[in-house]
Amino acid sequence: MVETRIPPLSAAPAESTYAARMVHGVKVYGKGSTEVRALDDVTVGFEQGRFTSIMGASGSGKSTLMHCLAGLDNLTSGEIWLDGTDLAHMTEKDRTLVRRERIGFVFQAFNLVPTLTALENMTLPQLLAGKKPEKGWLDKVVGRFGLGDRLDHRPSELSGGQQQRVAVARALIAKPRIILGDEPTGNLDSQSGAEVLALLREAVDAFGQTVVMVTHDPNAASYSDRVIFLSDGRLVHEMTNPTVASILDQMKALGG
Amino acid sequence: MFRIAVKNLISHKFRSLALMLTVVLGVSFVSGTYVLTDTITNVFNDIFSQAYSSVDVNVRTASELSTVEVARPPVPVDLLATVKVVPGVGDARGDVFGNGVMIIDANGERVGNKFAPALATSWSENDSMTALQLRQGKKPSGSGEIAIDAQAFADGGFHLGDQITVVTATGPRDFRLVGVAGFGRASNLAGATLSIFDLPTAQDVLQRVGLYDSINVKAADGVSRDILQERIQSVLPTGYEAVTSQQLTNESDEAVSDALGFFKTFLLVFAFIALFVGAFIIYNTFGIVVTQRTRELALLRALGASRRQVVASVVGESTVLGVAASAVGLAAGLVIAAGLKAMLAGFGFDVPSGGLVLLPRTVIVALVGGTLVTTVSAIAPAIRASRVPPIAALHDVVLSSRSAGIRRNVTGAALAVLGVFLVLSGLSSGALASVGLGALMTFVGVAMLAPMFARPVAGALGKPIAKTRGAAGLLARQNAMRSARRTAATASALMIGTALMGGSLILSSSITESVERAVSGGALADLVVRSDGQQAFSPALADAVANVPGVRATERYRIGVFKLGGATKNLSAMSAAALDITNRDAMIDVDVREGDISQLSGDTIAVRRKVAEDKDWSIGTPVTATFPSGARDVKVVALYDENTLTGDYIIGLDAYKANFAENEDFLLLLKLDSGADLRAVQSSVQGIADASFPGLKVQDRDQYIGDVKAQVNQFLGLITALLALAIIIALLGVLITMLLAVFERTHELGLLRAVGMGRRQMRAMVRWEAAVVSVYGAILGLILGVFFGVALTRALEDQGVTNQVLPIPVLIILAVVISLLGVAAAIYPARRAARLNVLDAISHN
Repeated sequence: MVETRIPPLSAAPAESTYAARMVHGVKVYGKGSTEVRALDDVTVGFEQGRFTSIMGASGSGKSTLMHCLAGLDNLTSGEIWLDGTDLAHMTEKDRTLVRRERIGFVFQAFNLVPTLTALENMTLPQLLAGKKPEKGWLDKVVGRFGLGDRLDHRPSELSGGQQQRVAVARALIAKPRIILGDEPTGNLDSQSGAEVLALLREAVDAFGQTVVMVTHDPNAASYSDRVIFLSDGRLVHEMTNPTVASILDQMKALGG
Repeated sequence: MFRIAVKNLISHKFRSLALMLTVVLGVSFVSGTYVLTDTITNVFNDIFSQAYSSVDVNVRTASELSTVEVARPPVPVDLLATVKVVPGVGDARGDVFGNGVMIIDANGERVGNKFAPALATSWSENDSMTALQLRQGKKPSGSGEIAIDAQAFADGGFHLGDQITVVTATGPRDFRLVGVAGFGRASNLAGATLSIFDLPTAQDVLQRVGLYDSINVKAADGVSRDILQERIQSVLPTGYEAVTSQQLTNESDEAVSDALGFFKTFLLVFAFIALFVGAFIIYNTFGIVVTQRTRELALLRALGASRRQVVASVVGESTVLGVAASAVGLAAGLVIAAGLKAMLAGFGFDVPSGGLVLLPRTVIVALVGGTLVTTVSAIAPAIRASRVPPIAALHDVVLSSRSAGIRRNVTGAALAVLGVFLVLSGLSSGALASVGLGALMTFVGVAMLAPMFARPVAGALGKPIAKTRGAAGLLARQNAMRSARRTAATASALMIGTALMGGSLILSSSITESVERAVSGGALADLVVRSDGQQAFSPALADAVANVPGVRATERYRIGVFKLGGATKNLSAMSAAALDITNRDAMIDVDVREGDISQLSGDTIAVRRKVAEDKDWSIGTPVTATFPSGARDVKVVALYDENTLTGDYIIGLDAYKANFAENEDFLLLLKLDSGADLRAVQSSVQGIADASFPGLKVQDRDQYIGDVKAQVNQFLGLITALLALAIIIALLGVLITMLLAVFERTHELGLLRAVGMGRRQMRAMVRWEAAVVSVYGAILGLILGVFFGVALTRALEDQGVTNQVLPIPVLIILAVVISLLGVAAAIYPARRAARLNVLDAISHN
């Protein structure tokens, strides 16, 4: 894949390369008295090869931010840059292609198609694109994730932790520009959750991926390189190299 | 969440409407059939009671055959004097009536539908003794005047005072139009035209000089008609009878309900099939909905609802649906009735206008029937619903995809085997009810077995799709294999329509082929003259045609009915010379197997060998046949195998002339001189026919065969068209099932869209799934259809279906069309799937 340099913007460190960036992102739901500003002029960049967590109370706009980054939702105004293109001004058809080829997803639940095997689920984006997954890369990911003996199993035959591992593997196999996680450990017991977070960490460290994850769990967020905090649709704080304690302190400070 | 809730509601509304429609179609056909037949019965009963109210007693030739089936021989005019002197007779008048008097319009065409009779009668001198009412002008009097029915008057564009031509048995004659008649509110008699003359003219036109067809008697004041009938009967010579007007009315009413009986049963069979397919859809839909609502039902149970209450809630829902659908169906039935009425008019059976009759019976049958079908179909799913354990409320229950149980398979197999047995035994013994029940059981049995094969068959059918259609194909295949029960039930509904249509196509191909073989093998005549509208025509034509240069021989072919051991049978009548193939002028080779057909004469009969074997008759067996003229002893003179051209019984032309009142030909068969120019002779014969007897066609053998085939195909085409109803309902089933599947898989579809499935791929996925299900249904249907079709044609071998044809290209086209229609039914669900809002779908919980 050709690495694209995203043009530097005033709010961004010029020397850094971003996997994705939102610029003056505004998202308004409803009209008039029922108007809700889910995102209120958010400008944020996600640097390549880093693991970022987005935190905030429910209703803070963290999910909206993630959905817009993923091309699942449209901004009311502003721009979203991914790979040199503005997602905010694309047709649904093009956004579908972007999701298929440049974005990897890990949802909280219902990550897998129940009728497909683990292998088919992992390679679903390539299947949809009518492409063959790179054999070597696929084997590498499968080996690393310990899924070699589960490839022919259907999701119903896998544990919750295994299902999430398949989901992370799917995100990785597509070699996307960015992997987005929406509470990927929300439904897991702590041990399985730790495994999945370790895999996401590994995706960044070993494979150089960019990972952005929405979570409300300080422990999960502590696996990341950087945590940004949202409140009432605004970016209110960010910290790097977080620990559980520092995150909890910040959450207390924000009243969340 | 509110937005999603509203969307769900709309989707339920659509589903409920579609589900209702499956019941509405069947119910409307039931009520439409009843409304139509009741309306016709009512109109005719009105006409008859009005017609006969003017007469107390009717004197006619005694006959075991009903007047409607065949004309009675006339009575001599001097019988009138005998009747007149009976004490209590107020007035007595002779009348004549008959068929085959066509009114011709300014273009030289026959007025009215070509299939409808062309009646003629005398207008009684006593105005109180006729059902005719003068609407315009005056009663005809004298040999130059005519009155006609109001409908013919309007259709022909005539004016009072016009000279109009009518074609009689002796050829065209001109009359001055002086009057227009009606019958109460009806303008004609069920589409027949009517020419009315004064008595002497009518006797002349109908060739009844010195004869009446019957004598109408009016009782003197104070004399009851029953007493009068007895008195008159006592003075009549043998061979004649006196009947009261009440008897006449009853006879006519009975004839009408007999005639409608077949028609009614015919239509009700299709209505029943429609309801049966509808029941499948209801069963399947409620099964799916119950599965989808597992959590909700478990919650109800956890909160203390009893199993009985759960059953009641599901059944209650279906009952509400059933009642609503039945009510709509009942109303729609009125529209169907109007449509069927128009169709009948096209076949020459014009029902006089009058309000549609909605009897309480119709309302009850439609409402109870429709509701019952709907409710009963939901009982099994309701019981399944009640088995949901309360604990399911707390768990994420995996939607049931459990495949068929052993008990179900055993029951299904038993039903299917028993059904096949009933079909076969019913066909061989002619027990149609057993055939119907057997077919029903076969369908249910196969439908119960269908889940067992659903997964492997869907897998096999889906393989090429999965191979060539990428992710959409792979997912479609997996989805079709997902719930064996659902795939099987949806496919089974399609199977029924496909099987019936396939069977009907096999039957129609076989019949067409058999008819073609029989006619081309048996018809020796070079030319055939016949009426366009299946009417008998004047015997004068044969005499006129005999002189055409190139015509070597002419033979008349007549048809009639007679009674044999109490049962009414059809016969044909021809001269022995026309049937004797040793004669060079033989017209029809009936394939004589025993006896000598050249001996066919006044007191003999030829019988189809198969029929004779059943009755244990052989050459020389004496048989008592009741003709319109009375009972006659005839001897079996020959046994033959042909039956497409001649039917089961043949009598000699001389016997026909002696025993039947009708004196008209049904076909005229011509043999030409060797070396004569077929086309030249054909056109001169046609010219003679056109000049004197419009509406006749002269055909060579190929044209005749083509015509006969077209007639067969028209009837079988009607059956096929009516079977389309069952297919439409099954397609609604495909639509509903796919809609439910899309609804049920909202999450999954959202996920697919999120990871990059395009809208086009999503639509393709839903359509391919429908394709797999539909092809499965079409395959099951073809298998059963071939079985039914072959069994039916085998059973009809004795009836002349001697050539069994398996029209493989037609059957393949049927399967392909049904499958494509199944895909078309999934267009809307596919669109819904593609339009799914991804965010809503993945956040929907």
